Amino acid sequence: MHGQKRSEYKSRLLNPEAASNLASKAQQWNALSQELLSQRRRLFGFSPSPLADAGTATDAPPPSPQILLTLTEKMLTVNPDPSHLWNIRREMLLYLIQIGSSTFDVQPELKLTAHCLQRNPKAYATWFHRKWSIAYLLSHVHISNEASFPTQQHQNEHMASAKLIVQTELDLCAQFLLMDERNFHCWNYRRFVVALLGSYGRIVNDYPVRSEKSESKSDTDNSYGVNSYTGTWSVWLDLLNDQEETSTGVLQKALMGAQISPSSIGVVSSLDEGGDLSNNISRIATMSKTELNELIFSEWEFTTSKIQDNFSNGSAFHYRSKLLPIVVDARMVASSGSGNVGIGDAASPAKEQSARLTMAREEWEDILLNAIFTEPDDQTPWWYHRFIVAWAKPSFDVKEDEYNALRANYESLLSDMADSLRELLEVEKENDMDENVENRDESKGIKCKWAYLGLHLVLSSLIKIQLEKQDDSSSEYASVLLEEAKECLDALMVIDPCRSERYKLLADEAI
Amino acid sequence: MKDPSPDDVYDVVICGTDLIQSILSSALSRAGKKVLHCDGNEWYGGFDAVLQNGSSLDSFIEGCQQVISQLHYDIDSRESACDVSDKLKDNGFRMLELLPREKYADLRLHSHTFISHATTQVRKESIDSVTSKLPAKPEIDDPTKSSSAILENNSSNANKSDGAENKCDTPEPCMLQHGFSCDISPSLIYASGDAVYGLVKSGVADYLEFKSLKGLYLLMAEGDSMKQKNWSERNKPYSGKVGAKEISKDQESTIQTLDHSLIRYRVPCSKGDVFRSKLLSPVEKRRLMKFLQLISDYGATNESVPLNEADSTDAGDATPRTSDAHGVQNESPPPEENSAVATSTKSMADDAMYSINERHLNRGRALSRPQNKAKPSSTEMDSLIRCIRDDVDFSDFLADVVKLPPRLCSVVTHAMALAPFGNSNHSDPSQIELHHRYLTKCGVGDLLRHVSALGRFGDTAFLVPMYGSGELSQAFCRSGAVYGSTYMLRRAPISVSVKLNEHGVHDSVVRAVILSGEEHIGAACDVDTEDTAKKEVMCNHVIVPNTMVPRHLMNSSLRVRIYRRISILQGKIITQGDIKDCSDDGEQRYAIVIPPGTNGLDNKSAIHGVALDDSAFVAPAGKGFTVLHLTTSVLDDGKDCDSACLDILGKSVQFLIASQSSDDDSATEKSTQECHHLAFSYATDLPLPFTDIELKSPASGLHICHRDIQSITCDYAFREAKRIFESICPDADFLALAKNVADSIIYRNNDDSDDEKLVLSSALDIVRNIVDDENKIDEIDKSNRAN
Repeated sequence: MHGQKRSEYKSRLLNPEAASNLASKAQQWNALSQELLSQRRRLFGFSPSPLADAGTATDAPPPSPQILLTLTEKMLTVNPDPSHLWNIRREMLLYLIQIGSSTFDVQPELKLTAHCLQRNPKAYATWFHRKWSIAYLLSHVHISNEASFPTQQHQNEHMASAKLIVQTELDLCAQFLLMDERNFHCWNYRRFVVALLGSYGRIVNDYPVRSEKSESKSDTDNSYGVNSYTGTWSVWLDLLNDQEETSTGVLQKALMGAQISPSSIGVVSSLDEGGDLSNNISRIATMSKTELNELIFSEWEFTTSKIQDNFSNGSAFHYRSKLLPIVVDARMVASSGSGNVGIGDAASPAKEQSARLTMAREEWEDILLNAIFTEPDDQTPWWYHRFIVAWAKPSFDVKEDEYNALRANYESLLSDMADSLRELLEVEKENDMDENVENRDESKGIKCKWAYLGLHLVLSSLIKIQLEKQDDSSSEYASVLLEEAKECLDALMVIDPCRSERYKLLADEAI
Repeated sequence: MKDPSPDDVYDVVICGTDLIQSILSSALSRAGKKVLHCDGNEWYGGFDAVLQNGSSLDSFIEGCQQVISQLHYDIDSRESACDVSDKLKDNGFRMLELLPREKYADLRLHSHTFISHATTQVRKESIDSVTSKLPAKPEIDDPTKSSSAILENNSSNANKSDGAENKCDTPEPCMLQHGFSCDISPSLIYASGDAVYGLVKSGVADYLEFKSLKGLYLLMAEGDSMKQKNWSERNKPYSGKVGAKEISKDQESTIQTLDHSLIRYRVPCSKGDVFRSKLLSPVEKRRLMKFLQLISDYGATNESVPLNEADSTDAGDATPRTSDAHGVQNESPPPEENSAVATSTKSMADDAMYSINERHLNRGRALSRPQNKAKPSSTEMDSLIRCIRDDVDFSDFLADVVKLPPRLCSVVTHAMALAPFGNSNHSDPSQIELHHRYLTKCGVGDLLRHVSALGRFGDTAFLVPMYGSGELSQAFCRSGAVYGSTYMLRRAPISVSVKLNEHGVHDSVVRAVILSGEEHIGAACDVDTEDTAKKEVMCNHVIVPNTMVPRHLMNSSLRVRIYRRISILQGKIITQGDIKDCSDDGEQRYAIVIPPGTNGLDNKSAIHGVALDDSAFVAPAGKGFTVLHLTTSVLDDGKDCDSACLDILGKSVQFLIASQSSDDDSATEKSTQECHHLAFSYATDLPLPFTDIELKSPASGLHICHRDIQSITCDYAFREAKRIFESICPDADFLALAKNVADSIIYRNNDDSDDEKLVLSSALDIVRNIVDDENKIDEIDKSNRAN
């Protein structure tokens, strides 16, 4: 949790009653840990630990994996942090399959992790185990052997129910984010789940998953299919756009990498030669292009509502920055008709860039402007502002007249930003009657450091545009702006002396 | 007459079961006082009661109507009938007459539509105002709804019985039969403040349930927000032409284009509200946020110093009244050195400022700053403290120091400090006495109560008591009874008997209270009426509400008349809560503010409203009814304002409904309409928080408690009760739990078993069982081998 002092936490131990209570729990924990490790050694027939009593360990029959599962479950409910316990748990689950059972039930794993996350919503190992369980569920539902699904209808039903589980995960994320809207673990998991939904059932059909049982691991690593359940966004997002040009389009813009490695999903049993079977599956389970678009838009709405709740939320802004390019594309497709035609036309670089500018202005007016004026000392919107300014900048890969139009549009956005920021600084300076320079550093009061920095960024971008134009009036204007930018840096050096060298560097760059 | 034995003397007789008296009853009996608590009604709560349809609501209405037939009832004739007082008068005693029950606070019932308990028919009764000089008041309602149901003023039971013959086509005439109750004075409580503190400390909260208020809204004329519209218009040309409607969707919900309608805004109290608000331009957002943070900083720095102590420099008798302030008092310089006071306050402010940055995961995080924000400059705090010290008007402070535009000043004063009057309704402020002005000190105090309750529970600063706020007084009466108070209902106090001193009337001491005989009350007359004789109860202290005291005994100059319209609406008053997309459950728990001078209403003071539905168990269940209370008040300057005020309240209901229907696009939902209403008014004195001067009691031992004027919260009742409690029991702890109760609560709370330990133990048990099993197997093996 934010702002909890370690000393306060530690001070619990000063109370002798609490301390003895904790000590007895620690004793129980240690005893259990040793028991667990020795059970595992016995199970796999490893040589017993030199510390263990040789006599009993060798004689006893190997324990059942179920007992290890129960023990890890109990220990993890108490303390979900140690990842070796989760490792043992996964080892046992896979071992059960190895020794005969077809698959394991994912529901207990989801229940256990949900319970652990309520205790500690920021335990990495718990979130990972949840991802692993869900990914395992999805990658194995296609390839379960026919014995458990006598008819194709059964299999389809099973797939639909698996998909339902994934969808409820989204609701679970929303619940968790109600409790702490800045839990980045949960935001991560949400993106993971969205990736699963997007790629669900689709890629497996195109690139059948290999069996791992007999093959080497490296083979699976390269498999496109298993990759699709790792939480990457690049693969399935291709399908949003036309297949041909995506590899250069969306892929580069919205790359969000895998969250778990493909091999960690574990064993994959062999898929029968059933091309037509999987085609039928795909019709039921995969998302259509419109559904994918809806998914993206609903995620976009979700970040909006979270930012409206509390804009001091770096995770929400980060997700938003990742979604922005995709949303721009999706909107262009939507605006160019039914969505199926004219994609190539809509995706022309000039149109795409002008859509970007429109989007950037919306973000500025609807969110950033309000956030900055509500709380200018909150860094979060300022970071997003930096991103927007850079992202909206037109690039040269368009015709010259198009570029000039885009540049004018960009310039007007920047001028509006500069005007608003000047206004903000005016209001902030109003009550500042303290003219004493020594009192002007940040620690002595509101001096609106971030507004100066933001204004400086906007001014520098404007200057670059003016210099690009290469005519007299523009260069004159540029020198005026340059002067103002320098004043910002001068103010910053006084307000924030700890970073004065950085501001000096920025000033040198301008010249 | 012999002196009564000490056993027959009560320490305190409390008259009326309004909230203030009920709190006092509980507090005084906890402090070991022998308390008699009496009320002329047969239900609890007085002006804070929750009235049941079919019983107490009918009685209330009939009680009001009786006043009309008793217009010439005068106190003299009553006094002569009271032989007890006559006899005592000769012995150096004097009777202070209280108002008869029907005349409390000069209550007037103006109009109502209700269903009698005897029939299922809806009647509409229009009653001319009590003072018969008034012309008949025009009905505000939609004539199509009520015309067929109008009956002439029929207050007798005989008329009621043949009411069945009257055809009524009012929608669902039987709908109010069951489960409906309405508060006379709806009260919310601040999620953190005097009320919550008192409820928790006393344990009375165990009797009650609360829900959060879902929103505090503001109704403003369209013209008032033109500036904002222009501002957004300016940006229009750039905004996206493509389907970029994610955010502008909720803009439509708040900005409506109905002809001459009022627009509903969420009151921007917390950081999130300010950020989302469509009411404010960016610069206004900045100014408002700075102001709100300044107020909450001021609250944080003054947590150890009560508000009144901050300006101790100008008060001659600045003795520290509360014990927790003494640490600061020691450092306080002599009153002459104003600058020194400022610096000592400033250094305190500096200390506290470090600790107010955001630390907790409160919902909405209210006004806290980002974690790593530096502390603010002290110049603003200095000017705030100066304005409080110099008795600057709150409106001047907002306009000149905080530099808020007039529109925002009004929002802050009426929707955030929730003050009914600003200073704007006085043409010449210099003529008003100091204690009638709304000073910065009062404004900041009111605002602070609101701001410090934000982010505690739900999205607003308010809690809604379930089953009506009348539950609060009932709960305190119950706890009073637990601690030994004696309760007598249907026994109205008639007069207070005082013993005159040699020094004259003003040195008299309370000796007894005369209670009336048990009375028939209302229609439900199956009461035991054996005890019909008047009774004299000896006591040392008497607590009477100002509503019972005749004006000539009160030396207060200003009187306020409070107008309230209780409307029962079919449908919802606010459908789309906010941007809170689909999570909105449609439950109606809202508060509404209409600032003074709103275009189309021309109200002199603010209108405050509370709208609740069956989610708070005050409206008939399951049929989509909403109960709306609208309240406004006027300073009583002799002029008659009845019809104007009632007209304003009636119009406000229509405006509220209009502001709702225009953003309700779904054709499936029926439009909201007013089915029933009840309009009444009563007068009261301008109370203490406003006047700041302790009114002199006519006799020592006689304590007059003052109702607040127009407030949507009842926190004032706890402050007022505490004031009177401290004057009776100066050294006792207000609303303290008895030791045995406290111990049992501690025992109850201590039972937190360590579940971690349990889980670990059970795991160890499993291990042990395995070992046991293995041992058993081993033994079996061994025995097998042996065989």
